[in-house]
Amino acid sequence: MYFFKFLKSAILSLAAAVSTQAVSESAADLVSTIQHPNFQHIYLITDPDARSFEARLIFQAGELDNPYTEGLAHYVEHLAWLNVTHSQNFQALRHSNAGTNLTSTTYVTHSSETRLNKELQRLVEVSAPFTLAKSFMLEERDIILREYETNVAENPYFEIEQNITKALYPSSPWARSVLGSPTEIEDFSLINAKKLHRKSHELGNAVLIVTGNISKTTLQKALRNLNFPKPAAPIAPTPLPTPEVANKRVAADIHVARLGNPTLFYRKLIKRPPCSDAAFCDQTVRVLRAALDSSLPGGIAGPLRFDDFFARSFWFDLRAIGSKHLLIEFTAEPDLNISLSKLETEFTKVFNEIVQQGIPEKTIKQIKKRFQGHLNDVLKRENYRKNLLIDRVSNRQPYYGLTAERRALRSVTAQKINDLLTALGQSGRTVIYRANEL
Amino acid sequence: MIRCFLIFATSMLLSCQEDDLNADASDEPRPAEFKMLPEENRSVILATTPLGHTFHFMPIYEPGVTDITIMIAWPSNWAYQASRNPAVPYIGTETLLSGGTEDISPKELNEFLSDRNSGGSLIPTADYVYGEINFPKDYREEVIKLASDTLRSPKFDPRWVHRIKGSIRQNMQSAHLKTETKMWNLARKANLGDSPLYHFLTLPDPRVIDEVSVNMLRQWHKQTFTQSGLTIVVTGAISRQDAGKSVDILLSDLPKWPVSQPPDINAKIKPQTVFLHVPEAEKTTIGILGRLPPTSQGNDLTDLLALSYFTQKGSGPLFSALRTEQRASYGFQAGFFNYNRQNRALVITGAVAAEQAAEVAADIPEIYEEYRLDPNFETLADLRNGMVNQTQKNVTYVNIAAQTILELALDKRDPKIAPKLHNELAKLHSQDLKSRMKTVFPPKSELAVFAAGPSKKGWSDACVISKIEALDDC
Repeated sequence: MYFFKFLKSAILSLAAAVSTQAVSESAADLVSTIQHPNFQHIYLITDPDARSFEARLIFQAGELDNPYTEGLAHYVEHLAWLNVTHSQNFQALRHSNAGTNLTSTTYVTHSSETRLNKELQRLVEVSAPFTLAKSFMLEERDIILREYETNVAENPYFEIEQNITKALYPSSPWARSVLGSPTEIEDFSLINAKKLHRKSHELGNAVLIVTGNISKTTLQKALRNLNFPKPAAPIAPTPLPTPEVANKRVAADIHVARLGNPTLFYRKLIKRPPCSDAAFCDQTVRVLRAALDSSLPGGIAGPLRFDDFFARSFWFDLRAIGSKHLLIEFTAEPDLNISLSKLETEFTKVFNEIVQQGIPEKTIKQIKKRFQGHLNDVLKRENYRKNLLIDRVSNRQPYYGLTAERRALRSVTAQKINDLLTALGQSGRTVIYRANEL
Repeated sequence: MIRCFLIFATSMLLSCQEDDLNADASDEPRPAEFKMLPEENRSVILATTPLGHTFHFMPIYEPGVTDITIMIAWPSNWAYQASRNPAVPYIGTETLLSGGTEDISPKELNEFLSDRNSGGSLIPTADYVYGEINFPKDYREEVIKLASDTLRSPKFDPRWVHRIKGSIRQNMQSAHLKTETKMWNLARKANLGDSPLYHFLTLPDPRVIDEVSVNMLRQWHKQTFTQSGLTIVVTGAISRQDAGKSVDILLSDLPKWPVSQPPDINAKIKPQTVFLHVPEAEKTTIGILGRLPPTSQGNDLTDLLALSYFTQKGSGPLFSALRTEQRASYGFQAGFFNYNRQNRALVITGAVAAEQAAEVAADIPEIYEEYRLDPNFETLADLRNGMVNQTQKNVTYVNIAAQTILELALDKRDPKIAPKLHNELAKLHSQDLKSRMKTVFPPKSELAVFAAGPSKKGWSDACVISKIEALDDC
């Protein structure tokens, strides 16, 4: 079944190779790139077995790029989509979704191949000026309040994370809230929303991703038939802002009724060593994160959870913030008779010891082997490939394929991992919240 | 690098593709791996292990597919007995999964599975404990042996039991502080009464968690994990013979007891409107419930399509009314759920502004009734095709195929339809939905409305209570 899929894709790729618009192809990644004068990039993943397609237009601008009230980028996304879905021409075509994050704004539509032209037209129409009635657009603020209630009200972690973010990135766009607070939502300005829409919804700053039963030829034909609501030409991607990392430690004891039991929140933001190859940078962080999270020698789970009883459960993460910083996140619930202060002390001690001693080569090899085996099954690989593409584009990071990811993983060494680990030990901005200490 | 593939289909095709120079050759199946797929590929059959256990088997013999899933449903009537502590199955399954055995510590267990890209779960429900293990074919023997040891002789280390009790207690405490959970608990109490099943599904009193002892866990383990009355499914990259052997090893040395049947419980969804006043609530949540026949009677895909259309974003009748017209809600969801396998309910739920909640709660049954009796299915084909596509994709996965087969088998329906479930969905037309809604969906007069929120304003026609225990006054 998969073989047929691959062969068909290969045949289509050969056909497309004569097209003037086809610029690159990686058969193993099954991701085609199409150049177009109006978009920043277009990617296509053809799956001939699919019965429908999904088209995703991702503007490379999100809440980080919003100079107005926090949450306004999300309001703009609602208005832009309503502007299209309420139009007479598109009334019947509403099987869709949209979303905003810090770095991008996404519009998604699903339909059958025969509707490709209409659906793509609908997507590009999100860049058109708003024509909805003013009262209707203002009422949409109430809908966002309801969205706030549905998704985050009464979620203690949301409230705590918002406060941590503000403490971690003072005066930086990275501290902005994508949803905004209820007070901010109620006061969203329509004038500012229109200004932000004009700036953030330039098609030249958008990436189109099409997946499903669409061939490259079909997509190219549909693209030729598009009517652009306003002139568009590719815009160079806006670099992500760089947070300032003044060395500082912020610690507080807090009480959050809805959280229930005691919980420790530890965050540390550091400058990462220069790293140029995106795939390699990512894989280094990924392997180090997994090693630290494990109960293997060099991991924190052994001393904190398995060999001794300090943390009943914990969540650990290490991730890139932009291209120049790394964030360490540790959230833990203490075991019986362990105070949050004790847990914090133990975590710091264990972490520093690991930084001093380094992670054994055997552990690194073991983690790499797990990652290499993770995608051996072809069914898992297909989904991963698509999600990797969407994840990179949504986070405004350069796209690389599964092939590059695997190659980068192979080139990760214990030395490189321990170099990065040493950087984690350097001073940075640390925020510690001890919530609901008994 | 040139790769050539030779394919024999109805006609012979020859195609050569020049790869990207950087392409990873190991990423795709080699030509040598390819062979004509055998007829039994993705066909569900009923097979028997060498030791006599019957199991539903769906092999996947496709290039590049390496994973295997085994699922077992152990019948359990723990949830129905008032003398039993209802928290035991939750603590027991968690401890069994993470607490290790006499031969392997929790830490070793954790890394053993991670090294083999394998994992498992045990989920207690009212009628069954669902067990699932997923692993690549290369690790079959060692993962099966470990799973067998874990099932046969869990350690139930008191320190781990204590730790897991703490986690579950915290999760329950946090959940019970949420308005949405309060509304669901209210509905469950109204429909099931103060029965053991209500206590099992709700754990309203967190003290029962503290009262769980290691002895209780051992008793539950001995009674639950047997070789009797099982429903077993194996899917993935495995032969029938190896699947049979694996099941036998997995179950080896487990006891054989007579299987107790769950009692005949009949949830009563009484038409009523109940509002739970929660002054500290930050939102108002509404849940509208009505009775549906159990999934064992079939047609649940028809129900799902009809209810999804009702609330779908954009043009769904409820979405249009509440979001586009009234501007009262971000969106409502509709679907169905089971209290147990015999008691299934239709549900329409969402959050609304406190000041509009009573009005919206009164409107929804009207909108529902209009839709039930006279639906406009103008864009049904779009929604159906999207669901068909997603279902087709989902059932290709080794583990989702196993889960689908298991549910069909537990309902005594034909598991053979599992890999082609999307075709059942594709066959549905507006007339099927119309007929089903008219004859099987509850009329508005049989719906129960439950809500919880900070303001009593507007709820004068409802039974307003300030704690769930006062429900008897309604």
